[in-house]
Amino acid sequence: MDCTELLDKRLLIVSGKGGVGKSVVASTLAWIAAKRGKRTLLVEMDTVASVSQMFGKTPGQHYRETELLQNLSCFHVEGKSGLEEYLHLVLKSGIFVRRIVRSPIYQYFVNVAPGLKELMAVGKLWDLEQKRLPGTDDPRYDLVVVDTPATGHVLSYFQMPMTAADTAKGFVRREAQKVADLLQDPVRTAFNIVTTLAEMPVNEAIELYENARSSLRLPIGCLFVNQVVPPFLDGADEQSYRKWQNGLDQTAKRGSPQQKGWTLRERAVLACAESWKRARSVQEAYLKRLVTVCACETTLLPFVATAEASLDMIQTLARSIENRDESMKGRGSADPGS
Amino acid sequence: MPTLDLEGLLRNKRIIICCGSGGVGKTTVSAALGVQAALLGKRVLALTVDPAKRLADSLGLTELGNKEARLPQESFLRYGQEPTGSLYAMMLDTKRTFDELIERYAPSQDVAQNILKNRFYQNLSSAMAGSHEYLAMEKLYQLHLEGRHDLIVLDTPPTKHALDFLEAPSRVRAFFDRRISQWFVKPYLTMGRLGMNLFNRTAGTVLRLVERFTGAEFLHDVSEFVTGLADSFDIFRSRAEEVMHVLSGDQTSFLLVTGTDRNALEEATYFYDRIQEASLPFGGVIANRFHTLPFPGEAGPSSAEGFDQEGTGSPDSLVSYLHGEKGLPVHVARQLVENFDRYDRLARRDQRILQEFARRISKQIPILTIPVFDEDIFDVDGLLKVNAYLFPSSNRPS
Repeated sequence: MDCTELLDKRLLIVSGKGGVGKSVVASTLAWIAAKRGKRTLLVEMDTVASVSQMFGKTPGQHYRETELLQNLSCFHVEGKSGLEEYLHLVLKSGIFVRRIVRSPIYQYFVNVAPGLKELMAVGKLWDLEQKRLPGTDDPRYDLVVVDTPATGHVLSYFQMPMTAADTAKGFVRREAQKVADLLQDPVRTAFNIVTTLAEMPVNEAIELYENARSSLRLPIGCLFVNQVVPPFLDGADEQSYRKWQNGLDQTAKRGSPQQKGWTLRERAVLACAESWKRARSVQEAYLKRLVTVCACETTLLPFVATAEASLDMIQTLARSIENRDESMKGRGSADPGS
Repeated sequence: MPTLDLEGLLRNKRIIICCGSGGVGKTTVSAALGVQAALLGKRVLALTVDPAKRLADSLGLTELGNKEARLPQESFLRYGQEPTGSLYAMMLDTKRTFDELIERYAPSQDVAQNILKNRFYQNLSSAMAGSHEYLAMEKLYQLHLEGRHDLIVLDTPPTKHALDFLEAPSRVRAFFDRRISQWFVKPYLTMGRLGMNLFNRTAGTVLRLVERFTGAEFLHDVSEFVTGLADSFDIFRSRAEEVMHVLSGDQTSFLLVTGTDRNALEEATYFYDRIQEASLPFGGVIANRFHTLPFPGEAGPSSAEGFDQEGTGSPDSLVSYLHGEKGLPVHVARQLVENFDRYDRLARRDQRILQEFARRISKQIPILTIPVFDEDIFDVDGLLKVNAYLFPSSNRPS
């Protein structure tokens, strides 16, 4: 699947280990969709609310939609509020719900009932996908993009509706089934993975890919490989680089007195180039491992050296995604076919 | 900014806890501290939760299950080091730790066995937020009491809740709440729905909802768990307080490990505030993966600002110098300068945001930086490279 085809879905889940740039990738996908005129909702699920800051906004009210740009708003979902909202729907009496929510036994069970909060968080995603514009059949949001929590067991969230559809009773089972149907529907949903090219993130990405695909039977979308160092010089370019490097090394051996100015700066350029070469070769090894296992569309995103995730960074990444930038791949190293 | 005397901590403390958000290199830092402590003659245990596979392999950690493995002397000798102490590593199994607690404190073996099989119990540690963190502390406390090591270095589980163990005593208290058994669960199961409604309408509704969501066995499991362990609740509670007591004592030190991008530092600020609120003994901050301009084997300016003062010109003039004077093809020269510029921008960025962070926390807090390495750190050799920065007075970078 081409990454831009993702935008034709209704629900994009973006997952990956903490610190790999999951929120930025989720925000970028949402930004591209909004720019193309789709009414887009960016959902932060059980995470610290931070995407609004990337768009230069202060975090919005708890459990409320906050507008970021034209066509783009964000929403912070968490299970406890989801459950309360659900109880209002089911019990229909506000006073009674408030009494229940305040009771110690409710507080107790919300915390200890296995998977209840996770189930309600994922249930809320379904609810958002189902929302319609008032008085029409048109969806309130054309696309819902979900930034998932940075825990090692993110899949336990998406497992919950399937489990509840098997174990719960009555209407809970029916509703859980609807949520499971949405999650497993390849027309509406895509489960995407973000990683960087280092040991732990790659291990986790591979694990996510395999479990999401075989255990949960979620439709896999794209693999986004973030913070990729560009390919190092090759062929004749590398040869002229070597020649220059040897020349510098010989100057250093002769103990040239000129250690300031150009020479010092030139040596720094060399040191950075050597570091680039090493970093790229480490990354290539991880990339190879990744694409051998993950047989899905892979997009490489460049390392953006800005102070923080911002609209600038989002725009840079959006260019890579939209132009299907192949320049990061290098000599076919990332091509699973070669 | 005062310096962070890690060697002093290794010599004088019994427990060092490396905390921070996930993916910042806590395990690497803990293992590096372990290596240095062994070199200082300590019998040290590195207690870790979720190590990267290659690091785990090289530390001899092949299995979970609270078993300690001694790092063979050979692993040090290979890199020209001969420790007078010894380094042990242990991969923490929080589930096993919980099981051991139940086995120890349940009123009888039968009750213990029933509880270990109980589905509710099996879900418990994942359901109780912060329980992994708490169990890590519990294991740490046990090992500390056993006293087989001079020093224990722990890295906390990689979650955003990594400091939730601070609330452990109150969580444990809430969890082992007798009322749940005496007031609600038992009447519900013995009297049935009608009896429950007469007894307490709200509780009846809640339990009916819970049953609808999770099935009736769940309530039965809760009841079995609560009634089986009711007599041990006080023990669990007082134990949680003892754990907190040791953690806030002066034989313990907390180190905050962080990355140097803005997100990581924001989380670090949060961690720092929590540590302060809880008045835990705080050692200092270790900022990992700090970008500097690489200058192997020689001291140089840490960013291109140092060159600018010498008036050596813009990136464009550097390109024309490399092309004109040095004969590099112009597109190669350009790529090299662009790459240099990338490193330089990162170095400036990290310097700036680390300064901001230092201002925000406190001038009195020592901060140490470890640079980004091009390769993964996964063996003693790599850990020694890290230690060149953690212990600058006793090691020189190679």
